[in-house]
Amino acid sequence: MSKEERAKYFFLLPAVVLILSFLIFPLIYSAYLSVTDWQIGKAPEIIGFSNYLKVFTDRRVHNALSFTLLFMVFTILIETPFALGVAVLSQLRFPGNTIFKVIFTAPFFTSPIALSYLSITIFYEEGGPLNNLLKLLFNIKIPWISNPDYAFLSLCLIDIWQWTPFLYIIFLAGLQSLPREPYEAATIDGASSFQAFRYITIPLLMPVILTGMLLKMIESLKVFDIIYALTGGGPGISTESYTMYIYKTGFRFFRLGYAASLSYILLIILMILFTVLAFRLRKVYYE
Amino acid sequence: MKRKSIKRILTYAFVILAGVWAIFPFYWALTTSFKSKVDVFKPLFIPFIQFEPTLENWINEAMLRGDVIILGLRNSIIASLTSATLCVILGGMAGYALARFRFEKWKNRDIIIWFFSLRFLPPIAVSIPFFLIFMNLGLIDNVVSLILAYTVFFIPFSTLVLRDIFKGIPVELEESALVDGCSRISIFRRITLPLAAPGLVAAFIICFALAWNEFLFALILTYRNATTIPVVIAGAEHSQGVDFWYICTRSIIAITPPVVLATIVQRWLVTGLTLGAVRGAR
Amino acid sequence: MSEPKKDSRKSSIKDQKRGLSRREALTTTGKIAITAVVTAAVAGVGGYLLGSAPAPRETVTQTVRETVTKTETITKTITATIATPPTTPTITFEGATVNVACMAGGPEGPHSSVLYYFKDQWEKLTKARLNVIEIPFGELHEKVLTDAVTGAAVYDVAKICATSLGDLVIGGYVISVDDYMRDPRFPKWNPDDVPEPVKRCVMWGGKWYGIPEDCDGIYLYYRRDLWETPDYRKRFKDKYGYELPDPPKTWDEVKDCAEFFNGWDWNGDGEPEYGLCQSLKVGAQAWFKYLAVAACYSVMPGPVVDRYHNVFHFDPETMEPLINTPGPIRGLEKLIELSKYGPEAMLGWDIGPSWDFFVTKGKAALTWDWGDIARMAQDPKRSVIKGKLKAAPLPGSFEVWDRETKQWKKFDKLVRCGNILGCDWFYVILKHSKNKEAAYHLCSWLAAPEELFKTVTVIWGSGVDPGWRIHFPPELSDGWGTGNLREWITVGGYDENDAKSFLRAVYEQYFKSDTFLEYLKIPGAPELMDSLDIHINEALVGKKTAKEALDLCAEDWRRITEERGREQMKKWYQESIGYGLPVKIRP
Repeated sequence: MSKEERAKYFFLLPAVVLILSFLIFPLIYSAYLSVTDWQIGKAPEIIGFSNYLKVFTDRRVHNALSFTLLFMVFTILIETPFALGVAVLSQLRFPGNTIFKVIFTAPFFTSPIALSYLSITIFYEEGGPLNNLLKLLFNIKIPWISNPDYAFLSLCLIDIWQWTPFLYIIFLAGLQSLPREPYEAATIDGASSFQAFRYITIPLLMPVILTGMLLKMIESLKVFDIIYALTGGGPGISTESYTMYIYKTGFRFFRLGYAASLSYILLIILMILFTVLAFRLRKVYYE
Repeated sequence: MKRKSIKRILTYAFVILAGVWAIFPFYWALTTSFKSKVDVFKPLFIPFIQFEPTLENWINEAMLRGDVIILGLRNSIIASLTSATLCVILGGMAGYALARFRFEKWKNRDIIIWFFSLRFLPPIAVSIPFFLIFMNLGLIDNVVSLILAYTVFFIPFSTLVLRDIFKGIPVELEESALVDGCSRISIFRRITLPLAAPGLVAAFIICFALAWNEFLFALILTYRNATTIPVVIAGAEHSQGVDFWYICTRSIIAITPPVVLATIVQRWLVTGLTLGAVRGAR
Repeated sequence: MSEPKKDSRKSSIKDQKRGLSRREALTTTGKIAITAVVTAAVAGVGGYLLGSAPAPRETVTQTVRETVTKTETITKTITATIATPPTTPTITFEGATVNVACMAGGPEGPHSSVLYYFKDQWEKLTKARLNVIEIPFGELHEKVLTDAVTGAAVYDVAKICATSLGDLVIGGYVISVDDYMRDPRFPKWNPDDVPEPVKRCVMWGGKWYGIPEDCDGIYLYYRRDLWETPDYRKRFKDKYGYELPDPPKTWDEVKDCAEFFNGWDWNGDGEPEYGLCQSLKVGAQAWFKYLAVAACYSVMPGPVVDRYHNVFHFDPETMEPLINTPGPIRGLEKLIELSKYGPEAMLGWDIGPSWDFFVTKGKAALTWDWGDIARMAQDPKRSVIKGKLKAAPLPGSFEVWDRETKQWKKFDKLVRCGNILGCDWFYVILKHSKNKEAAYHLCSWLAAPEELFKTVTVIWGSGVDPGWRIHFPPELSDGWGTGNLREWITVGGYDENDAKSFLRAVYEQYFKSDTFLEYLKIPGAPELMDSLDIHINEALVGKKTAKEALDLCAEDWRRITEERGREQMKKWYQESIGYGLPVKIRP
């Protein structure tokens, strides 16, 4: 093998080998579980694909999927421009820039579990801080948790608060690597900063923006922790996310076979979506 | 002039609003931790003026759960720092490979999709098999199992982000060094990495934060000795409800090490030397 | 011309970069190392200042004993007044370690505090070691099951919720303690001192699997100060045509009371108060609170647990869900009606905000909830209703749906279905344990009268509710109880009237009801209850009517039963409810 080849694999393989060695068994085991019916007290017995078929008729799966997808779309549409805007502004020199960066990053370090519990007190409808403020300003009382639509909004707000910093960090790092000359040329040509932003920053930063968005979208498909304490999936099942349903099925009801099949279905859907997407994104990812 | 000052005011206003938005829940947690239990569900914002602050929650925490909290902090710090470091090193290498080299057997694009796909899997699906693996390795209730689990799960983040960052560094810089006869590794170490410092820091922070707040594996793989902060926080809920005051104290405690870390490393999110300057100087 | 320039510039840049990179790398590593060291140092110093690990617990036990100043003398008085059976010679378990899995609550929180409190005493007594392993409340079931199923076998004893029992028994992960109970070497606890429904909770197929401790029941609570205000009584009578019921005996009376006290300022704080408050959030405890309402319309009293008597969830002969029979449907309709007389937010409340509303803010006239309310109401730091609390057994009904005749059966006397049980936390011994005897000794020792009494009085945060014979003063329990009211007041810190009212209510509910609600423990119980919980919630928020919601729930239950095997489920259900066994409620 040439030196070049050796270098190639030297760089790539450690990560891949580590991942594969730990994930191969779980993936195979989960796949095995997904075609079994494992009940407490008995050994798992293979039942073919009936778990997968059941998923299609399970009303709760449809509900969970639609909530999760809506959640994903809503949050990413707000978080991306928000994070981008703040990242660009953070480039400016103003007093307290450093502190601001730390403050704005901090939400990402909050434990989602703690956040969920904390939100119970923040969104408390009978006189929590939010409703208190709203009552003073607009004289309204919003049913943040007891109403399905507002519960959705509450969860989106929490997610936006917590994950915008994630995109912010990535975009900040990306902005640092941008070359300066296009900007210098633009200034010479008399372009406004907004034009520079639109025609230089965005195209150049696009790969980073896309990666960040994709990563975050995948994460939001697995939203669970923040919902758990705040709404428990309610009212009814209006805020039950897909992962929450998997968790309940797997751990509460201990129907590990069905839970495994639910996980695999998610995996399969996303793989299909991604392969389709990647084909269209090959411009960005094709080296 | 006027336009500039309007822009300036708007910028400041936006920055202040964003800051308030980001900091409010922390402020709320902090003040609530100093409230007596009766005041937890009341809209009281300012201590001394609207309510009487008390140290009792903090004292109770220190006296009753101090040892558990410190144990949780210690384990969280060890697990998060180590796994984040491993993620950045291994992920950085993998990201570099995907940015610079062309793979014939499996296309780069496919490998990248594979890394993304690792994030598709909900941790729940692998928790029991993971438990079995670590049980057989004798690593249950041991921080090492957490380190391994977190590294495996969060490498995709560092790989993908760093790949983009490395892509942004012009190849010419490396190629001229190659021509001079430097090995790939030394180029990576001496040229690429310094220029990618913001990306490395970003990846480190992200992997650290994800590991710091990870709950499911910490719950499943530990019993007592390797318990981490998120599990300790979850312990504030019991059959009589949630001890919101302890949630607040523990949240404040839990947020402190990451914020300290972020403060220290945030300066490297901005390098002194930007690529533009190098290019421009040519 | 350009080449050398390029080279020199490049090499100077290279030098710069190289120099920069080395320095930068060193400083970065150094900074990170310093962060780690500093944090570790802070942690270490903090740990040192707080003392070593055992110290805080000792300080705590010390504090607990000190805050209840009269404990030492009281303990002697208790020991003297309680007629304890002759003490058995203690066997020792030198070198054994018992790992107990329990809910995370720390040395002063619910359920774990019991273990921490008695840990030193028991360890000295038996020369064994007790390890308390805490698990976050929401994940207890999962952790214990994972530990058993994967064979990790760390826990010896688990303090579990009754819902978990089915899975553990069927899986063969717990042992029956019948033999230990007969063994003279271990501390004796009297099974007859325990209320009937609690007994049935820890038994399976006629055998004992758990050692009971907690007697989690739901009781009706209302405000003494409101009920005893003559003006309000007069206005109630004028409006509804009968005396303000004290206590309300049916859910219709409860509705009238809640309606009457809803929406006006009866505590003088300038804001309107509510008739009732409740925790109706999904995924929390709403289904318990629903069962509390529905049971009296659905469970037919009778001497034996047979097909038509003393069952609620399923028909024991056919395993057909009964959740959408007219009894439960009426219960849900009543609950929906009642939910109008409380704050709208309660549809999203777990017990925390609901208890806060009733006890800490005092803004609801009545509620029905666990015994913990009575305890919380006595804490001056968290309660504004100390001395203003009245408790009563849950309302009953004059009509119960008779499945045999498919009609409503009318009674002359009020029929009470008592004992709407909560998790009823009790100890089980895991089969893979290597220290079963030491484990059983611990559990049975904790069930001795002296310890039990301390558990509900001295240990303020124990989360254990009374129900054993030792808890009831004889004057409040028709002479049967062996407890002491004075101790509840002096040691337990209860207000005298509150204690009297509460203990009488508990006694009546457990020992003077006509029937009881069996606790669903079969494998699949979490799934069944989850389905009920969700459908109730949908009915409460108005998305479905009561009948629609419960019909869907019954469909779910049918499906779940089929999936797990109908015949199998039937057999388990019969075992779990003690099918065919006589019912003995009176002590």
